[in-house]
Amino acid sequence: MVSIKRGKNDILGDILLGLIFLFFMFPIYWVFTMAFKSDSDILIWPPKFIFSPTLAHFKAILFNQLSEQSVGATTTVNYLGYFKNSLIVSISAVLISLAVGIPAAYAFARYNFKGRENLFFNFLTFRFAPEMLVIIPIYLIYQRLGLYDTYTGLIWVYQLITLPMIIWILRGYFEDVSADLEDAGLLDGYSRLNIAARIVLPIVKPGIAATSLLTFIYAWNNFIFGMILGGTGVQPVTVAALQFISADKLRFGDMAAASILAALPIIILAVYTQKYLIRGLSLGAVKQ
Amino acid sequence: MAEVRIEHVYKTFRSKGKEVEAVKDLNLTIRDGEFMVILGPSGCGKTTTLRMIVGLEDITRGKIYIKDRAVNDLTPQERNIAMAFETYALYNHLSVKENLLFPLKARKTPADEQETRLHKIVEMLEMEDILNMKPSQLSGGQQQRVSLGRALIRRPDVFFLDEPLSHLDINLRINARNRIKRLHAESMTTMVLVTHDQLEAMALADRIAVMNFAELQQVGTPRELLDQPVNLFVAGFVGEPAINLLTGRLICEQDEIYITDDAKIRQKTGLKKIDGSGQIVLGIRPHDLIICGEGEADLAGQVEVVEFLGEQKQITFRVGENLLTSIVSVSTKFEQGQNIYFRVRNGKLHVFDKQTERRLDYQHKGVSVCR
Repeated sequence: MVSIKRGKNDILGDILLGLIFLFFMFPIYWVFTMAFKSDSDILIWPPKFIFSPTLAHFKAILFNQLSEQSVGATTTVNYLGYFKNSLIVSISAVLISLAVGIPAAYAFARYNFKGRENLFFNFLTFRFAPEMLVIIPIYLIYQRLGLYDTYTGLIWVYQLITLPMIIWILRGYFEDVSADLEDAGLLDGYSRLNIAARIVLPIVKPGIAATSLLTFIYAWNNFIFGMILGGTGVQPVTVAALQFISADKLRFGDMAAASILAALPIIILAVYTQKYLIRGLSLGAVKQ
Repeated sequence: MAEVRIEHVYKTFRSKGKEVEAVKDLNLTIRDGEFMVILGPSGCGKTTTLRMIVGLEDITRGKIYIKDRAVNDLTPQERNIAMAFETYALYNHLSVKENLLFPLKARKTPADEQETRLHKIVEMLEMEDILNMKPSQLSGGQQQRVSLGRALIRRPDVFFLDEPLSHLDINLRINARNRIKRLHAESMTTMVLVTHDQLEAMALADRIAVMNFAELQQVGTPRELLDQPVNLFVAGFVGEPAINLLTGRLICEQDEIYITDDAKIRQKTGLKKIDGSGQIVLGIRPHDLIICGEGEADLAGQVEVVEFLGEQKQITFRVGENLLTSIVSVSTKFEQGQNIYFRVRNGKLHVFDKQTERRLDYQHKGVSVCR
C-alpha cells in the first residue's frame, strides 16, 4: 500500500516539476521561436506554432542587412559593437572586483578586526539598494566628472554588482581553508603573503573560478546602468535591443534575435558551470 | 638538540570584553633530547602552551627559552622548530613529495641537499610508494606519516606533536605510537607531544606534564605519576582502570593518627597533628588491591560484575555505597553477589585532603601530637 502511494506521489511530483519547467522555459522558448519567424508570423493571431524558419533577423542584426521584412526601418544597429561593449565592461568589472575582493574576503575570513561583521554586512547592502534609487544621483555625478558614456564609468558603477558578491561568496571559501594549513606554512618558514599565494589561493582557485563566472553573469545581465550611464558608444547588448524600437516600427523579430544572441553566452556558461555555481552559492552566502 | 625553558608564562584571551586565562604561571623545563608529553583534558591549556612555544600564539606574560635563547619575539621560522598538526595540515594541492620539500624550499636549501634529506625521510617513514600521490588519495595513517615527515625533514631543534594520533583508528594508533617512539630514539631530537589520552602519554613519555584548569599540576615520569600523584585530579586522570576513591577521615587514638573509612581500612599515619577538618579521600589503584582472607582484609565487599580481559579479570565490587574495581588474576573464580576480601598493597594507599584535594604525605615518622 505504502509503496503504491509513494509511487503516485512521485508521479504527481514529476508532473508538477514538469509544469514548473514549462512555466519558466516558455518565455525563452517563445523568444527563441520568434527570432526565427518572419514578421508576419510573429504578429498573427492565433499564434503559429508551426512555421517556416528564417535567418533574416540574425542577418539583419549581425550584418546590417535589411531583410525585406525590415523594409521601412530607418535605423541600423551596430550589434556586434554592443557585444564588444558588454564583454569589455563585464570582464573588466569582474577582474577589478577580483583584485579588490580576494584580499578583502581573505581579511574578512581570517582577521578579527573591530566592526568586521558590520562592515561585511555593509557590503551586502550595496546589493539591497534598488538601482533605480541611486541611478539619478550617479548620473548627475558622472555628468560632472566626465564619466558619463565612458568604459571607466560603467566599470566603476558595475562594482556595485560584482564586488559585494565576490566578497560574500569568497569569504565562505576562505573560511573553509583550515587555519592549521596557514599555521603549518608559518612553521615551514613562509611569510603571510607567501602563504596566501602558495597555499591558500591554489586551494580556493575553483571557488574563485565559480564566483567569477557567477558575477560575470550578473554583470552581463545588467540593464539599467548601461541604459542610463552609457551613451551608444559604451552601452551593452542588453540595452541594444531597445534600438530596434523605432518611431515607425517595432522590430520584434530583430529584438528576439538580439536577445537570443545576448543570452546565449550566459546560458552556455551557466549550463557548463552549473555544478560549481551551486556549490559557490550554497557555500559562501548561505553559510553565514 | 635543545632545551626548552618556560618561565612564569601566562596566556590571557580576550573575547567580547571578557578575559579568560588559558595558561596560568606555567614553569616547565623540557630537557635536551627528552620526550615530554603534556597531558590534560580538553580546554586545560595544553594546546595553547604548545602554540606559544612554537610561536603561533603571543605570550601574554613570562618568558620562553629554546636553546637558552628567549624566543618571545621570534617568528616560528626563527625558532627552528617543527610541528605535526592534529589535522595533519597537508597541502592538498601538492603531491606528497612537494609537501615534504615545501619547508626546505622556504629555506632555499640546495637541491642536492634537498634530495638527500628527502631520501632519508622517505626511507625512515616508508613512503616510497606514495611520493607522487596527492594527500587526498592517502589513508589516515599515510597522511599522518607525511605530516611527521614534513616536520622532521627540516631537522628542527625541537619537534612538537599536537594530538598526532587522535584521528587514527585503534590498530593504526598503536602502530603510529610505536613509530613516533622509534623516531625519537633515532633522531635524538627533543620532542613535545600534546594529548588528552593518558595511555598514549604513558607509552611515549620520558616525563609527563599534567595540566588542568590552565595550571600545571605535576611533572614526572609515568611511574612517579602513578605512585605519587600530588592531588586528586592527577590521581584520577592518570591510570587505567581509574583509581578507586573512598571518603574517610583522620582520627586520633592514643596519641596516634589513623586513617579510617567506612570499610575497615586503618593505618597509622605518623602525622603530628590533624590539619583542617580531617576529612580525607583515599585512593587505591585497582592493581594494588590483593585478594586475601577475611581476617587480614582492609576491604570487604560483594562482587557486582566480573569482566574477562584475557590475561586478567576486572572485578567490580560494592563496599557500602561505593563501587570499586580491582584487577585480579584470571584464575580466580568469583560470581556475582559473592563476598570478596581485599588488602591494599603496602605503601600504595594514596591519601588526599578532601578540601584542598592535595596529597597528604603521611609516611614520615615523628612524635604524634593529637589536637
